[in-house]
Amino acid sequence: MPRGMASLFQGTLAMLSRAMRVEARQVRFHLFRFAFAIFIVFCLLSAMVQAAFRGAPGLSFFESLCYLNWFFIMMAGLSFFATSITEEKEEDTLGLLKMAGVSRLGILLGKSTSRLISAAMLLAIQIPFALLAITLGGVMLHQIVAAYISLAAFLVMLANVALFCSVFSKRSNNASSLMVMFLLGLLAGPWFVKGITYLLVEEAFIRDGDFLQTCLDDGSQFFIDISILTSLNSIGSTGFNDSVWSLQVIWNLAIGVSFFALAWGTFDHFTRDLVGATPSRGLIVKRTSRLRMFGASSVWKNAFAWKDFYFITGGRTHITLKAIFYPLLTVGIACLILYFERNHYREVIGYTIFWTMLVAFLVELCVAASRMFHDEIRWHTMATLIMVPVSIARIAYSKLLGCLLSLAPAVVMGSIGFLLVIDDSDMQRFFTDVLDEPGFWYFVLTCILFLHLTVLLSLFVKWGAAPLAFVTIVISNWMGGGALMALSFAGGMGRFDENVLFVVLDIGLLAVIVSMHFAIGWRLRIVGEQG
Amino acid sequence: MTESTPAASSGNGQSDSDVVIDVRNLCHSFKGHRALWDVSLQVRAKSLHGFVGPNGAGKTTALKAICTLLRPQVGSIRVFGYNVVHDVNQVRRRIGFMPDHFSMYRQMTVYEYLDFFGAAYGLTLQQRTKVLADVLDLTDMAGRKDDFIQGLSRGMQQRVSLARVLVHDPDLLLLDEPASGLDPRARIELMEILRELRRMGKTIFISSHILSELAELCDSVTIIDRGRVKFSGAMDQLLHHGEDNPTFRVSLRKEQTDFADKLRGLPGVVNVEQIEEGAEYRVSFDWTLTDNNGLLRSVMEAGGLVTAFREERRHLNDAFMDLTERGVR
Repeated sequence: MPRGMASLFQGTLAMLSRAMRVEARQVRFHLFRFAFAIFIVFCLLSAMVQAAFRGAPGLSFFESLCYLNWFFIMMAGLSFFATSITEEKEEDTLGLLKMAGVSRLGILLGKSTSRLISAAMLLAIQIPFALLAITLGGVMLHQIVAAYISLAAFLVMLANVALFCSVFSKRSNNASSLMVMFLLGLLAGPWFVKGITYLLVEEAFIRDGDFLQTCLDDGSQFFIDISILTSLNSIGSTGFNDSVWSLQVIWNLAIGVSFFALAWGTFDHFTRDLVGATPSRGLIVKRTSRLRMFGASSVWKNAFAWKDFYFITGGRTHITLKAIFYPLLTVGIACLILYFERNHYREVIGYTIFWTMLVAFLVELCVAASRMFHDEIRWHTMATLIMVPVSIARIAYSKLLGCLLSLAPAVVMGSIGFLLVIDDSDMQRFFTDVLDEPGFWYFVLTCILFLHLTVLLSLFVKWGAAPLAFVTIVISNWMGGGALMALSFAGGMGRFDENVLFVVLDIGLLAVIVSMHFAIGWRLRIVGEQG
Repeated sequence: MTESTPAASSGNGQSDSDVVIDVRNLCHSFKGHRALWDVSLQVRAKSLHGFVGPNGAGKTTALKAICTLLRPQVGSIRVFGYNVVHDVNQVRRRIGFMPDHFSMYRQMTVYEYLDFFGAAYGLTLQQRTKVLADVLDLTDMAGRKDDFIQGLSRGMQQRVSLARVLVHDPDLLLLDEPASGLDPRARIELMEILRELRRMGKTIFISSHILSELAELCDSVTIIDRGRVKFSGAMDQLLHHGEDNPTFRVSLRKEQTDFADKLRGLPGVVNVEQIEEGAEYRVSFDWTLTDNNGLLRSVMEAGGLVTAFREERRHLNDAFMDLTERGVR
């Protein structure tokens, strides 16, 4: 074997075996697999209960498994795969690997392959359970094989796109953001383009059959055809007998390989100037700069709030940018809607502003929750912070206050939207009916729980606290809802009032939120001790 | 809420107000690994106390327990008479802890960083303006106050870290390996700042590996190995540790025959050793029979043309090597 080839294999295998060993030792990976096994068992039980009143329970079990896997693969793409190279960059170990003679291909294979193997193994071990769907009825072996091949191809694509994002980005959060954009483009992009094309034809901006219309329509249809969701939908339909090597499988694999090649080709370029990871200051300028109005002010009396306002959420600079961007965004969307529906101007503008700002508010809050303490841990500043003679609770709430201040543009805009529709009948109904609904408060409490869980998880995991919290909340709700539905259908809850059930659930959620408060305090203390 | 007051007794017969750190029988374990075992030590006010030990000896664990970050599992720690478990905030107000790693907000400028901690400790804007000017002056960082911390050298970052510790004017400084990773110049400059701080009346508890500098700087020292205190007391006491009689090195202008025998015959002299057959002698004597002035006088009266006469002390390195065990934990 040529010497270069031997060193490539040595380096790759060394990294691969190290990654596998580390993974085998870490409890959280085993916990994750255990949780996954529980989901499978739950899907199975749910299918068994449904068998009493619904046909083809095997199909229902099989579909649950497929969509569960799809969801997990996406979440892994955002966190697990997107950090494969950035974590080496952040820990200053990429240079050491290069100096140890591990080639770029070796690093890419060693870093991505181990993660791909772990994820693929998680898919593979489900197959015996998935085969139970055949026994339960409604699914054929061919469908199961086709579904798992589709999922595997999707996994390969996502892992390699994430690998490229990881090579391209300096930091893990940038890589994850790129992956969010890629997934949004992949899932919603084709439908968005298709819709726009349809509207352009309807409004006679372009003619049906034009080159542009054909390109846009065929292009978006192609991406819809190679989408995993289209593929899983087709596989789940009765009488599926297509080849397992569908267009989606072939194209997903091709895209995966292309992105791996791209990551390989650009690796040296993007990792040439290795500078140790340092915290970012964003767009905040120095006080000595001419643009000092975009710098940090003198420290407030509440120093912790000041710090997080400027150095977590971007301070006055970001507020100014949001104050420009949010009105443009909401007015733009409202204008688009009004273009096609030329009445109820005030309501359209009001509701568009209100709902868009509500989403922006929640997204901003989620980002702040995941960074608030995580940055302190990441840059080892927790010990010095908690040495200040104030309680941990006060530090935590002050930091939260600093983050909340940055939400001012979203709150102000949202309030304007709200005032525009305050006398609208739908809004009046919201005040009279919806606020009395325990189901509404269940949703609100779930959002609060999600934020608490994000904060708590950010004190444990390196990256991906928010996606992990989201997965946990979605799965718990799905399992809880499924269990309640199963009980209800089985007759055990026949006399139960739905409102009473939600009140009980609300109280339960409130208790969980309170316990999480204490858990966050406990964890902060431990993190402080560890320095 | 009632404000705690410092405990009344230290139980050692010395002035209570003089004892700043009082650690008694401290034990701490991590997952079955014994990090500290029956550690007891005392640090006097306005002293510079060295805390020395090999890697993994338990220095950082002990420091964290003293500065209230780690709750002692067994034993008690009092700082300025306050219990570190019950009077956390009182202790924290009076101490400044500098950890062994560079835990700084590197995206901030030097001034922003110090200003933040000043405000966090409750200083008003006017107070901060004055204090920050003072600490920047003391650490010689005034010219770099608008620089980003991440752009500073390691030595400069260490100065900023030290300035941060001083912002709230603590009486006690706990410094964990402040000189590690610094070049000789930065290290010497740091030691100068520490000397200055001692002159200002601060008590300094410093953990370090740089034994030569500690020996010059410290009044007292604690040597810890494998979680146990091997020595704790005055530096002089350590350097004479294990030696009953003081030893002086006598250098003569030229070698004289049978001079070693003449020295042996002098009053109070208990041992004489000629160094490499030259004109230098190592002379030990009994304190109860004579003193160093008496010895020098006797040597000159015996006809010795003395060119140098100095006390021979063990170096801290020797004491450290004698007291600690070989190998790492």
